[in-house]
Amino acid sequence: MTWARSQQGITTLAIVALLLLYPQVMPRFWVLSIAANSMILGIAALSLVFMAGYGGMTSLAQAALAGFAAYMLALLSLVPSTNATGSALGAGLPSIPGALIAIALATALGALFGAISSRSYGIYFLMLTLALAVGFYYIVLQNYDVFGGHIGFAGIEGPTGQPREDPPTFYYLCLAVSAAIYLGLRYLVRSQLGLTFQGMRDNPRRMAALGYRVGAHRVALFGIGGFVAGISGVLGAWYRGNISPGILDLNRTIEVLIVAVIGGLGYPIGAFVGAVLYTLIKVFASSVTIAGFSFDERFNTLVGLGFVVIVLVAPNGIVGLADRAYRAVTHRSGARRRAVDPLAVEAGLVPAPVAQPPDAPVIAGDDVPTGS
Amino acid sequence: MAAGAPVPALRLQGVGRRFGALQALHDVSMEVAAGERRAILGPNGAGKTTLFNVVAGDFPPTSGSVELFGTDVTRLAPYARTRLGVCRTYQTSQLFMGLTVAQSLFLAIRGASGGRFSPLRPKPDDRSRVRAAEIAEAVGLAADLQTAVGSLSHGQQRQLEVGMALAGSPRLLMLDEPAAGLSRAERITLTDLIKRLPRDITVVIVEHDMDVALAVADRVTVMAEGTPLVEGDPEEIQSNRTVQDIYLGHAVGGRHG
Amino acid sequence: MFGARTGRGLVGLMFVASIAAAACGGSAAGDKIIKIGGLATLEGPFAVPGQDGFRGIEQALSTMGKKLDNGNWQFDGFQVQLLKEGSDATPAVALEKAKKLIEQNNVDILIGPLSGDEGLAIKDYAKTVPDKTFVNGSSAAQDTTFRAPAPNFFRFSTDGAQWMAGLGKYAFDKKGYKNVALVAEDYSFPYTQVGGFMYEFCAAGGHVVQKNWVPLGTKDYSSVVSNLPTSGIDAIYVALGGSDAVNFFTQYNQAGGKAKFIGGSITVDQSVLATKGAFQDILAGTIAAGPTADTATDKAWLDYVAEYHKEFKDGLPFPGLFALSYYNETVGVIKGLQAVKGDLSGKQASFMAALAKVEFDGPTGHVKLDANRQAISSNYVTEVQKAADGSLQNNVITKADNVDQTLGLGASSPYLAQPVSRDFPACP
Repeated sequence: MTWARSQQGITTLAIVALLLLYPQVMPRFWVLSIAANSMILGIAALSLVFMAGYGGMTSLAQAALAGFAAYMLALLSLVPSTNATGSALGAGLPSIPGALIAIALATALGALFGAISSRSYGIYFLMLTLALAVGFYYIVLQNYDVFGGHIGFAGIEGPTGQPREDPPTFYYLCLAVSAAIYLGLRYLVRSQLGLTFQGMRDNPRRMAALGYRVGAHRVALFGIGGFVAGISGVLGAWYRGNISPGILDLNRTIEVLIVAVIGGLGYPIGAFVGAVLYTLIKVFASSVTIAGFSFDERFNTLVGLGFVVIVLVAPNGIVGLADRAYRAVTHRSGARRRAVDPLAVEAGLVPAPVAQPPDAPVIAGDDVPTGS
Repeated sequence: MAAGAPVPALRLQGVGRRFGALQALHDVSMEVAAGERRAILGPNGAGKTTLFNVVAGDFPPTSGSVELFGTDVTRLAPYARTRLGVCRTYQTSQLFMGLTVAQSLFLAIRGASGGRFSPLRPKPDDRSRVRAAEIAEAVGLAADLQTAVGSLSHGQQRQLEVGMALAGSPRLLMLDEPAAGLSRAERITLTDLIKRLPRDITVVIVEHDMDVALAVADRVTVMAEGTPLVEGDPEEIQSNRTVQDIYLGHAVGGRHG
Repeated sequence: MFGARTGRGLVGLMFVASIAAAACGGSAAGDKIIKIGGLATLEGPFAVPGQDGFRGIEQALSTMGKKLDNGNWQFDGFQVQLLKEGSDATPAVALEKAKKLIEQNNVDILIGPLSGDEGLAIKDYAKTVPDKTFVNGSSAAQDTTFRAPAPNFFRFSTDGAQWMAGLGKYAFDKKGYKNVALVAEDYSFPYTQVGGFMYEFCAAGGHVVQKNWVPLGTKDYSSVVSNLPTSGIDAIYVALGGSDAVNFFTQYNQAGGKAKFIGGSITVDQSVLATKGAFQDILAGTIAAGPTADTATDKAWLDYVAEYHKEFKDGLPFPGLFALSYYNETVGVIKGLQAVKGDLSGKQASFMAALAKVEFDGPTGHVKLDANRQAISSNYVTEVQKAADGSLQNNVITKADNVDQTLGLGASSPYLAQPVSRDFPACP
């Protein structure tokens, strides 16, 4: 145990060191377009992973919430008429207070979305959140007075200035925020509130019977989802410097979903792994030549094929695959693979399963006979 | 004991529940006194579980009223009734497959006692955690506190069902076929557990196993086709001709599901 | 926690990255290799035009140079390597792809993008990379070059306003249209087209009495159709593309509308005319304008079309304005490179200076740049007419040469005092 723990400690230290060293040795493109971009996308996907994996709420509104925060940031922090799009709007706040208010507003909008959809489950919840996202997209696209229509806003600057002027600082900002959110959510899952979400995910009816107002907790979880997505939106706006409806269109919604799925819906770290993978595939697919066939004009075919392969090979995402392999190795046999919800183990909620003696009258969770 | 005034733990007046064309409950009126152990018997489709659901608040009755401890709760949401002290188990286990036994019991305790939105982790000496361990002990799951619910045996899951209901510090405990699917030894443990419950807890139990039901009950209500048919003490019920015809006959014939 | 397997995953990623690096590395002896990045739209509504844009680049390279076995093109003293990237017509993605080509693949020259909003974003990006040369693709927003231009951004294609040259005058003088209503998609390219039409039309004394802006991709035009005036207008100016145009014409026809139409540059192209439907009856007589005309008979155009068909068996029936724009941009780049013999030293300063002076006779006419590095070139006015076999075709009515960005009004004209937008210019 101590050996395993110290080994884990060394691995963690090495990863942290690599992450800190990365922007010092890599070129700007790899620091910003790959790493910072992945972290921003990863935070958005993390908001979905948290809601879906720990609360059973697969929200398709996360890209819209991130975009909403970005628009709020623009409206709060731009200085009227001196910005690049010549918009007469803008409260001229400094970047940090503007960002905090924008994130708070995204949290509130998330809670509102939660209130609207609190009684919907499964496919209906999915459709309702999709409808909210698409509806919001069209509002932004067509409203010129507040949202600047299809042009949006330009000239948004974060506390670190233009990212391209100083890539490492912006990278460290993204890294610090990503780490804070990740660790914060990992703490939360073992709290009263986090357990409540998981109870809700597993059995909302029982939660109600235990005295929980399930609807209120769903609103709270959607609020947290809005908070995390909002942070992603703010970082994204600082990163790009401009915002337009394209940042919250259907493509972006699907992007967040794909990242969460290929990373592994049950694993918080999967959001970031998925985001890095997605960004690399997206960026480099057009440079791939297989057997003399160049994908430069067909890179989407390659991207699509890549995701199909990932989903087929690793239905629980890349991290799910790694998790299974890890446990197969450490426990020699994969005998009781499905006995424990993997995400509970990942979150440290549940110890990795110990095989029961073969003579014990085991009936696995999924096989419990159900009464009429 | 309870106050001198005879406020019943549960009073139903003319309760009916209709699902489309099906009249699942029809003019149910009954009273369960505080501290009483009441068994509800009846063939499949008699409306026993529907009655539980109406009392717990899963859905409102289409007619009549439900009173708990003198309060009209007919229109109250399930969580609010739980906070009045109603705890129940389900015929089919309704558990949290992704959590551990300790976490499930913890949630059950906190659900009735507050702190439901706390974003903090409970400390190891948290009162609810200590209480969870006590309850696990009481229902025979002390060794499995850290086991994932999904890897418990069926019998253990039924024990957890009861444990989670007890964790809510119930004043009215409703057990829906708690012995279903249990081995003989497990039934005896369960019967003992129910018998040992303090008398300030009122217990209503739906049970097919006559041994269990009659061992714990003070009074028995027999239902058929959505309405109470006979009420009496266990001896009366066992010797009642009608009951034997409509219920016991069916029971011998075997039940499905 | 998941070291082993995740490590392997990372190795996989590195593998992908190394393939990319290898692909970008190139390998050729002798002549120096100049890397040109091509950026066009390969996803979404402009995917087909994007492919045609790349055909334009390749056709220009193959016509002017010699294609080698290694995939590069040989010119006198230098080789050109082409690296392609696709966007989805949103500025954010176009910007990411441009950054990738410039910062990761280290291209010397970027040719692209395809659509207007993308072009504005790339122009702003160009200002931050002054030692690289940016040449437009087919994006046609006016302000990409007209206001706050980037000194290293060149456009050998004409903008969306120039594409309207001759139309406003023709509508007013020859067709006698005095009052028109308009229906257009709500983004920068139609703004520019509407602006170009109105410069001439308003200046001639015409009135645009009503503007209807609809989102790109609108399918249901019922509210727009019912909002259009039924009397008091002589024609409807329609700046919609592809399926949007077909949907509008169909629903307008079904509602019994009888007005004449004036089209934008992509409103009544072959794809719309070839679509079967009752709406075809109301399209005859529609006038439009644009930088290409399928039925033009100039020798340079016919040669260009013949080469296009020879080079691309899977090409479109006629190379469209996207292919032509990318073609002209690439011709300009090669002429500039030839002028400096492929020498890009000195932060490309001498190359950029040479590029600004490039002039050539393109398939549709003479091309030269103004002080903002914006093309001055030719434009066609066309009219939809029924051919002998009953099909509809665009016939050339007039051709204007040396059209500049102000359509001859001069930069101080009040019509150019503000950027084109939903509300400007106006002559109600």
